[in-house]
Amino acid sequence: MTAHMQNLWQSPGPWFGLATGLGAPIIALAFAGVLPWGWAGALLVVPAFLMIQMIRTIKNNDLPAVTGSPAIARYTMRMMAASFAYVIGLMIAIWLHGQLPAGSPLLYAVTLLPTVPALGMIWAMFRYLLDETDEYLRHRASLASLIGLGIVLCLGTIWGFLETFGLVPNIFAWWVVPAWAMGLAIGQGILARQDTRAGEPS
Amino acid sequence: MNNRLKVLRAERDWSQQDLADRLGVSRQSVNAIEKGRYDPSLPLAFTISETFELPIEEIFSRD
Repeated sequence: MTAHMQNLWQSPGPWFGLATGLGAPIIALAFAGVLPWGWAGALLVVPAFLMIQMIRTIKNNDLPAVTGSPAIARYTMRMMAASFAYVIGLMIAIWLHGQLPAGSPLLYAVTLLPTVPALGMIWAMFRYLLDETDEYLRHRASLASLIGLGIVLCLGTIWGFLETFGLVPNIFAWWVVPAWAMGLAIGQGILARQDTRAGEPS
Repeated sequence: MNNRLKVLRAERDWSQQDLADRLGVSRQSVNAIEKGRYDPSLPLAFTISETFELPIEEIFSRD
């Protein structure tokens, strides 16, 4: 393993990407009824462990120094806070939605609870693109975000047609944000790999 | 676009990080520009020119 790759795993980004990439499909499959909630809960132990690893890297490092940019450090913290709030909001919504009277304003509020941090993730990305003063890092983040968007559009189109003809089960539309976050992590991974291939620091 | 960043750095015995610090950008930026994977904006090209005390056309050239 190269020094660059070792440094990469000492930063929170890859752990966050893996945790989100694994956790989001598990929750999506549980919501789609493909995976029982009991199994989903058991499988969510793995992303939870990855989140713990991520928090450990933050404790062990000076985040702006590790990420190479104060704007990336702020973005990482915002995304982590939003992800944590998203999971909590989702759990509260699942727990309370069956106990509230149908059509009540409180039911709408509880149901929309997870959307606030989900929209916060989109805002965090937008804010990062405004905050980042390093033009190459900004260019790279824009590309990664377009890769994420491309993955969402491809998955949505393919799944949508399969679903229309009854070949796959229905999946709720809110999966777009976790899928975008996963695509973003994949895009950042591809670009980081290109940087690594282009050469180590000299 | 081609550039002579690597040669100019070597002449001054600067690492990529040294140059990045002087330019106020990340080391990844210097690496990407040096390898020709990213063309800098005009303001950054002027900063590079001032840092090496050379005209832009002596640092960057067309393919």
